[in-house]
Amino acid sequence: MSFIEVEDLCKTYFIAQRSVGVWGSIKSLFRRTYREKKAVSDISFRVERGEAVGYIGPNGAGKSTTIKMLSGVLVPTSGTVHVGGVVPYKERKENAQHIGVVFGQRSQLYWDLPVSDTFELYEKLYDIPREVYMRNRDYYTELFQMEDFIDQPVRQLSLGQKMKANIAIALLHDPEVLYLDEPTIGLDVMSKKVLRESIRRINQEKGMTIILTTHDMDDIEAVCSRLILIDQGRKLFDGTLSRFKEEHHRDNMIKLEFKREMPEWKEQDGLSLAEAADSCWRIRVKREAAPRDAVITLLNLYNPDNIYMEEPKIEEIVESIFVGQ
Amino acid sequence: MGKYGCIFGKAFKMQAVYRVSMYLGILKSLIAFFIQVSLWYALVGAGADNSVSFSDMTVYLVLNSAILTLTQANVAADIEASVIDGSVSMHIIRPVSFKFYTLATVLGQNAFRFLTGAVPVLLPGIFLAWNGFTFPSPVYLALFLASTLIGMLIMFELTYVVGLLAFWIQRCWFLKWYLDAGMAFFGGTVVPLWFYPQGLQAVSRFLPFRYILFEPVNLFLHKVSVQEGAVSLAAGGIWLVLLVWLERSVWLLALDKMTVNGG
Amino acid sequence: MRGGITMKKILELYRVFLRLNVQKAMVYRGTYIAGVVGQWLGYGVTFASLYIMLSRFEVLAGWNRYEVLVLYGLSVLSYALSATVFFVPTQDLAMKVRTGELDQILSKPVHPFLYEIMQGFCPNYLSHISLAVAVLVFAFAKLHYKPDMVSMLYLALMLTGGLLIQSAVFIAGSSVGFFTVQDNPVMDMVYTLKGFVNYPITIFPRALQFFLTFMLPFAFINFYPAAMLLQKEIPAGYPAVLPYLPPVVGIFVFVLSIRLWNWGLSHYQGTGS
Repeated sequence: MSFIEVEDLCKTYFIAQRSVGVWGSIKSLFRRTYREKKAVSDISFRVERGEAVGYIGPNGAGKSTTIKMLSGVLVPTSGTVHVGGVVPYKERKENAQHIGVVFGQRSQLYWDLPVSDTFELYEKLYDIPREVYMRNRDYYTELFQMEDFIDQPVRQLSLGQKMKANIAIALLHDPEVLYLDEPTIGLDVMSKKVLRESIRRINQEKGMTIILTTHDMDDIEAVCSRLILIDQGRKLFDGTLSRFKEEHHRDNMIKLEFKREMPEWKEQDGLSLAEAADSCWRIRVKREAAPRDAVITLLNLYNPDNIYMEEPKIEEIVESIFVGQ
Repeated sequence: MGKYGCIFGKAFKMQAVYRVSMYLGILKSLIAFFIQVSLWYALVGAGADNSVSFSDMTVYLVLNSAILTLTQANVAADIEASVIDGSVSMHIIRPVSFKFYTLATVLGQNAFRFLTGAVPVLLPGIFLAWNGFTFPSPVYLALFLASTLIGMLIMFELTYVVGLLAFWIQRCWFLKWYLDAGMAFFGGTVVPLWFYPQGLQAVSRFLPFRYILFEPVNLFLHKVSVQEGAVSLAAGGIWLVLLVWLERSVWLLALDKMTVNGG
Repeated sequence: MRGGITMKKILELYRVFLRLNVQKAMVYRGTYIAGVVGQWLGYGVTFASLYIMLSRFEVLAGWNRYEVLVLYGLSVLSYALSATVFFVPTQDLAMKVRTGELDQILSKPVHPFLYEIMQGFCPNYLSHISLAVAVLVFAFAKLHYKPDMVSMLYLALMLTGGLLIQSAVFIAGSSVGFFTVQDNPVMDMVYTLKGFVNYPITIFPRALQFFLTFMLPFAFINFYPAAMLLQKEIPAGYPAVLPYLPPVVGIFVFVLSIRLWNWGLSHYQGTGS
């Protein structure tokens, strides 16, 4: 049996339709109309102990909903979830002792008190044995480079510092698995770098299972060996990062910049216009086409002022998968 | 120190962060007490009512500020905030009960308010009430302590149930005003129910508010017989049981809403 | 003053923001109405308690129950009128300093205080206003008070004075926000101090009567106007002209509070922190 087993998982929300006007709102007191929204549909996967899995997809793909079902916050509409042999939403408190969860931007910290105070609280909340607590506190303080700010009131901390503290707190009780929901969203470049490096080390040094949602490919590259791609609640890909790159990531993106009036786009074999902004184009180069030839063709055709090679964005990868199907 | 002791401590510490506010808070409660004492001195001193002495009234005011500070925290506003930013869902996957987490937090906040809001008026209160004050007998004291405990729990349950409504109506900070209005009018925190017309007094017996503050004070001042005191203690107990039952049902519905439909 | 902005332009802007704020309140109609009812209840209970208290004790320092209602009604009415305009702009100054929102406001081509007032119109005080008016009408009717032109004019002038004093309290209190990094604890204090004038000031020791008249002139909000209208005693030995002074006192403290605010602002811009 795998550590995490997810079978045919579905989550459907019923969203009450907002009624218009006074009469409508009175009517809705008695009878409401609901709209169904499938946030997650028929997702299955298995995760072994010690794996670091990137759960990736565009905004609103169903990433957070899945994490919430894994951690026991949400009850699935259908399908099953097992984490370490436990059904999370049925045995919430039991499950809680074995997992660490960080929902991006939802701080667990006491706003007016230093981070160290929230540390002490968690020692009590999770009944962490003294020596385990001391060891973990020192380990994570060093790992996340928190020495400088651990005694400052939280309100004075930067977003990156708060995120580091939140992750450290979720790890104090030695969970077996760590769920991170968008841990790098809105952070500066340096914080992202430290965070990714730290999470990678936790996975490797402690052998902790990590599931991380993001819409930033760089997070995945730095931390995960495997990724699961979902869009609109459905799983589109599940496999190693290298296989993903082979299958989907080989499209190259070329950006052309114009400092004069933009020329007119002409359809070309193997090239397609992915995005047209004020003074630049992003052009997708099909994986069959050699990038070198594409650059020469584009230079000849449009004579841009500048030319850049780029990685495709996650939305573009999803789009290319749909086009490919 | 257990989990809840630690939560209590942190909540207390949070209140104590701002020193200037703390000192001004002490000054504020002294001023408010002084205003009330002056008012009741003018009223009772005029002698239109002989049933209540100035000493009684001072004791009433001291206990009033003590119990009010112990029941002051706006639970509804706290729950509302965590429902809106979604952090309430974190509570259900922590190894703590949300209700006792909230209760420990509230008690921590209120303990601090008690120290800055009620303790300072104790000394002037004792000084003013000295003439004509008799300390309650052991039986009355025991009844007083029991009914105070029940009163505090009733108040917590009331604010907690109202706070849970945040799961359905999102904005509910104003509901505290409804409770405060009920408490002020039928709980006798502004004007003791002694001075109310019969009709309103009768109505107040069927509401939970008078059992929070007014009945404990009645016991402390020997204004009722032991029997009457026991009856109101029982009435308070019934209210408490009812409210706990209501709170549990509402919580189960809230949990359902949160876990099935994502809050 | 920064930029050449005319009075006409200001009023125009105010109207735009006013409409926006009313629309915003109407989006959450239910909350708005529930909030109004809640405030109605809260203040209604205070009025009712005063009424019950004085039904039992008959007089408070020579004032009967209707007269005390007038006293408190004037205080609530002037407070609510003033709060409609000044509550929001003066509420979170310390917070705005801390979050840097103030710097953003300072970059706008309008004087920051005017800008705050324009966007801060608060329609929630309709509850206080309607309640206070109802109570005043009720109490005056019970007192068989016959309003004539002169006394109506006097009442209007006194309300203006009270409104100015209440506004000055908001403005002066909020200017503390320029100097603190935390929530502004002074406002809370001021609310407590205003509790003194919920009752005739003659119930307090003479030193306090002096304080509330000549140092922190809250007694001019309602006590002196009500004493004049209802022919009540003012503190013995005080000049008989005092009941005519609320508008003068109002203008004086209002100007003073604006200066204080501007002084705080220039201090803030000077230190730039």
